[in-house]
Amino acid sequence: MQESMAEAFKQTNFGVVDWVIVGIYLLISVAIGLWVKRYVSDMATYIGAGRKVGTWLGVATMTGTELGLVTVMFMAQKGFSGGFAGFHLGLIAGVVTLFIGLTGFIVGPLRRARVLTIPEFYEKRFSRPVRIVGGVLLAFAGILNMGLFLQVGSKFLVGITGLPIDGSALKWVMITLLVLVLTYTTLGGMISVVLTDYVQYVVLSFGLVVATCMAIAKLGWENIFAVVSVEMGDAGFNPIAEGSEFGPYYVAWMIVTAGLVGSAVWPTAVARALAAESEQSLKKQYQWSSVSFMMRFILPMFWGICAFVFIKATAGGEDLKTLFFPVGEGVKPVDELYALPVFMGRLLPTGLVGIIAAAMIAAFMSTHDSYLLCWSSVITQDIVAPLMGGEMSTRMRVNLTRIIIVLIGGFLLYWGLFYKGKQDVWDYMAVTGGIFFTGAFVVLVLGIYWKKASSKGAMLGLLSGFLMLFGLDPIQRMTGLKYEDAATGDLIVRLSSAQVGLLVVALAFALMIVGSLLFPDHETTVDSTSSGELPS
Amino acid sequence: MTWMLFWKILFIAVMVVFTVMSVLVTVLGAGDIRRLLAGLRDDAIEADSESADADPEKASPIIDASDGE
Repeated sequence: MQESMAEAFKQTNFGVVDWVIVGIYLLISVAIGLWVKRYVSDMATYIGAGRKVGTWLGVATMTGTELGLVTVMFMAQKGFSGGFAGFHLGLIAGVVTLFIGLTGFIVGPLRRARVLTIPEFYEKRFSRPVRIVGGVLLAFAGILNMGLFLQVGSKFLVGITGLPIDGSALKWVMITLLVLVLTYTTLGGMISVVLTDYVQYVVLSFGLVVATCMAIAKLGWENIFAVVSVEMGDAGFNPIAEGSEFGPYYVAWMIVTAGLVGSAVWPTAVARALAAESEQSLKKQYQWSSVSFMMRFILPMFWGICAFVFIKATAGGEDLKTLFFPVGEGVKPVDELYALPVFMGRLLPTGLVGIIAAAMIAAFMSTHDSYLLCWSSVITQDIVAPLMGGEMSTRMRVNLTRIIIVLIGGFLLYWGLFYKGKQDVWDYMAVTGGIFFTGAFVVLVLGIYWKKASSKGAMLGLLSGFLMLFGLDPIQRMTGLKYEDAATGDLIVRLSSAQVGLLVVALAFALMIVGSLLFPDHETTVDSTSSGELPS
Repeated sequence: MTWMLFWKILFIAVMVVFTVMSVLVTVLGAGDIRRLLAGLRDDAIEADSESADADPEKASPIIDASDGE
């Protein structure tokens, strides 16, 4: 098995030219980080690019951040295992982002409040303790959420380049990528993030289109649909069909996560909104980004479907069939995350595969830099600085943010090497992110649109997010929410992650409303320096 | 309409719109970068001169003078 796996993975078109292309791209990224260091004059510039990001650059950077390599990988995984039925995720993301762009729901009032982070809003609307608790939850959930990014991204590189997957190559790829991304993020802050995001957008968007066309040309447009139809039946197209890996609860949970939260609550997306030069620009940015938000799910998922078709129904993928779909008891299939990079390594010719790999590394780095910057600035701005009574100089804040970025990098390496959960990467992310966003979504919505929302109610709403831990695969197994039937070996799920998520959102709403009615604020805590938009 | 047909139409529509948008973002985003850098350069120079005027001892330590324009 090991030998045939190593042999199969070596069959890639990735050659010396491609390594050179990747190397040049990496050098350019680090050079940008060094070059823009001169523009970092204060904290607003470091974490918000001085609020000078125009609409089109905003679209590029928003897409660049949210279309990370990890997105490509986990969406390809969804397409590989769930077929076209997974497209509902993209549809939801696109429609909800467009709705937010047209109405300014949540993000409009946040931009008018001129806050840099979501917890900062909590302080303006509620109180400092709410900000600190919100900051702790956000940092905890956010860092846990990106825990698998490094590992998943590195698996792509190992798969597409043909490096051995059973040796220490994965570890070294993880370390190299981490060092690079830490270097330019700590130096340049948000300015280097938006610039590298732009470069990534340009390379990746054209790479996506070209690679998609090549996949269709190779496998045949009608053939792709026909193979999915034969292999998966109705479940390969209908997300709520019997036998589909999704189902109605999952679709409802995705309206919350991939839709509302992904575009209007998730801090890395909202950070772009807060960096927009005006509310008008912000709305326009969201309207255009609705296309990218739909595409970022649908195109990688389509690639995953193509990888499935390539392995299942073509002679070129015959040797991979026994690896990904082994027959016989006790034979474990190869991690399906490797399906996409191995497929691309065989599909794309030398040169183009290097450009796509560089684009994917760009995607990897732009997501990492934004996430690192986001969580570290939350720790600095919303936890440490408020605890110190706000008496931190700009220099101290920037330096502390840089130190935290490095510490988070160390955690990513540790978590990527040792976490053993078995759920899909996307589902892991939805659950870990949910620790923050289930409460934050409720607190933002009620905080902005309900005058009676109080600090104690907000605190209850935020803390309920911790219940999302019951959606994590290892904890579900530990608590008996998920177990393997001793007789049949089937996996029995008493309460799915999606059901846990929906219950926690409902509970957070209930707790915040009841808490606000029982413990109202006696005086308003709205900062007089705000634009007066909070609460509406 | 079947699910298969629906996803086919959606996929083609997304590809077309995304391709057009990519061209727009590439061209107009470059203009935004120029404006962003010009604005930040002005801010940095202003902050530098203000802090130097106010108290030469406390001139902003984050702007690397050796990197100045």
